[in-house]
Amino acid sequence: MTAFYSKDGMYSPYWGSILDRPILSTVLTAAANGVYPWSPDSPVKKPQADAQVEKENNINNNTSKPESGHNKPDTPKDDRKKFTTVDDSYFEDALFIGDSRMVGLSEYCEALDTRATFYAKKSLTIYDIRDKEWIQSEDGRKITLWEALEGQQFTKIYIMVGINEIGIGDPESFGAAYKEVVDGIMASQPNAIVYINSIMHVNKEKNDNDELYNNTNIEARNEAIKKLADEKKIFYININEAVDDEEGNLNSEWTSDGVHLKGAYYEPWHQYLLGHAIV
Amino acid sequence: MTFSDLNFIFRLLPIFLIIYYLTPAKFRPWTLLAESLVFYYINEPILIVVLVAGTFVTWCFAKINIYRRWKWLLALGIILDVSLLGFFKACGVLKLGIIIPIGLSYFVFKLISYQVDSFRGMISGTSFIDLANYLLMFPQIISGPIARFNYIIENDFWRKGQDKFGARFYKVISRIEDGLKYFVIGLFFKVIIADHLAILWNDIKTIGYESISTPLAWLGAYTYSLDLYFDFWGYSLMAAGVGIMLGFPFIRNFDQPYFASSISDFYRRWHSTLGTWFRDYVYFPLGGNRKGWLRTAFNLIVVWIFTGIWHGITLNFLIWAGVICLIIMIEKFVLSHVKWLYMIIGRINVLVIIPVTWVIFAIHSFKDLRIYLLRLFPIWDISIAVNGSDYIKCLKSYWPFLALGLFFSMPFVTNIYKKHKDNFLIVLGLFGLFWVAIFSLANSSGNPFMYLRF
Repeated sequence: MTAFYSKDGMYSPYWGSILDRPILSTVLTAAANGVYPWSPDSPVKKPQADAQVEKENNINNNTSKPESGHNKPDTPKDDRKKFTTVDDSYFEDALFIGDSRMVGLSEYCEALDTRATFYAKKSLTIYDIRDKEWIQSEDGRKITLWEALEGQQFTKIYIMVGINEIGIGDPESFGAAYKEVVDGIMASQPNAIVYINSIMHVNKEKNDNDELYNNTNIEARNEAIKKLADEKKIFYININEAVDDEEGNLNSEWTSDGVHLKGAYYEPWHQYLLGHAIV
Repeated sequence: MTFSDLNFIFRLLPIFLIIYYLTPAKFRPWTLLAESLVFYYINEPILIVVLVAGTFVTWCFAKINIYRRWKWLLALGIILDVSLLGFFKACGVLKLGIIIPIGLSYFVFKLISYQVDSFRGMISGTSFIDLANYLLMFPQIISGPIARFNYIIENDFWRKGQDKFGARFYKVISRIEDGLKYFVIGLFFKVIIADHLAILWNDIKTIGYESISTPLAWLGAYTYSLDLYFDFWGYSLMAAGVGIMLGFPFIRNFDQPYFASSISDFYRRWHSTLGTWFRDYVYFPLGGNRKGWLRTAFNLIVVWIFTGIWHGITLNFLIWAGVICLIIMIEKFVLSHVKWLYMIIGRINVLVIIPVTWVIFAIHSFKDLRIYLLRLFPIWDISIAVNGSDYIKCLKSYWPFLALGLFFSMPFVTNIYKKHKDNFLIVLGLFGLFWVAIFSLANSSGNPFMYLRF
């Protein structure tokens, strides 16, 4: 009854067709996300950018709603930096931020894991990075990325997220959230180069059979985040070049679930990073 | 729609029960049949025809043979049944695009059981409604247990009692409560223990077997062993629970298998309705163990070849069945002569070899199976990019589910439950388990039953 009464209010994000599932499950699903019958009647927590960081260190935007494409500065082409090849010592002051696929990179690429810092978590989204307390601090508390970055300086920051939130919003809103995160990072880490890793593709089987997690949707979002690159401090690296088959799907031999690389196949990604570095 | 579907638990089952008990006792079998057809139709709207036709043909055969007792007609019936299953299985293997109707193999087991029992004179009469309910009843149609025909006629609620309304009502309610308890325990086993352990097993697959450490390979083997156990035991308890709610007796399918004294004993306790089916309709008719050791060995091989093929027509199932058959023969012909040794090795076999056989059972690709076995027994190194602490990470994430699995595998837990099942605290505990399971179900899509297409 509670769910029905508030179906247009706090339960609206969880409300499905009553033909598909019992109304009760709406209440339970919502409870799992911290929305209880006694919670204030507002939909999911409103996304908030890390306002403080943004205000203090605003570099290149004053608008609260950034639009994709705006940030590509009108600079001469020769100003742009080119990729070069480096060795593993390059990653000693690098930070990697990402979802389960980044977790995999930390676990199965010793060269990176022993050198770089990883803030990676299964099912992480760009919205989590922006809004949530998801990093375990040394004293065991959960803190936001912005808190974690305080007092630390990284010179290279690699990000890869985007597969988990593919059902949320559209490429534009995803790109906008991504921009807020990148801007926040740039503000907090002024000396860092940000590498936006393309969202890794899924394999052919997944691509052909999944209405949501397919490479068309992934590419639409890659296009949105590609525009964030200024090629001076922010770079887009298309890691799919390293892991795709001839048809442009994630190499099926290298994955068992179609989404994650097997432990043995993180190396091509590592090699690609070595070959696409800015010094 | 399986039993661990919110729509089944909160909608279909209550509606079915209400309609069932509002029907006069005499017509309840027909109500059950109608409900079973509705349930099957929801799951398989087209191929329901196959099951209905099978039921009708079997009834016609039984009608003739109850008087004639023609052996050839019995043989023809069995050949038709096996061909029906074989046809759909072959279509699957040849990828002809024809899917096997859900639960067909369980249906065929029951067909054969009915025909043989009827021929042996163990079944009196040829009531169509009893046969149809036996074959199609919704608690058992998807994945067993494989009941025998007498199960269907032991239903008190199908006979008009002399009791007054109040007494009848109380009887029905206490029956539903009894069944609900089994259902809740089964649901918890399936949704909380099995489905979560399945995620760990899947994580291992995602890593890729060449990159797992040997401790993780063993953790995986035990995880899968518990996963399969709680998935199928949980399902069997739910099915038994629904059966009880409808007035049928409890039907046991699992009896503390991991505490068996040997692998032979394990398979008397694991999926025992399948084991006794093979015993009564294959092993005994071949002569069982009464015709010398050579013939016994042959009979065992036949039973296990059938068991392997029934699970699937891939090499891994034949290897799985072959390994088990071999160990059962060693236990039977060698170890059984040295009692104290049998006691020790028998248990080691259950606790070490069974998990390895489940790995063989789980991994269909021979190439992957070889890699996994070499990670379990690293006699030569085929590993790539192994993270040595992977098992610690998995234990950290999944220890509550592994602990629950180990706890509920212990025979003493079942014994305490049996003794005190009407105790208020136990009922309160079950209420808690139910809502934990429902909460989990509402927040996940749930895994389909592993045995669904077998």
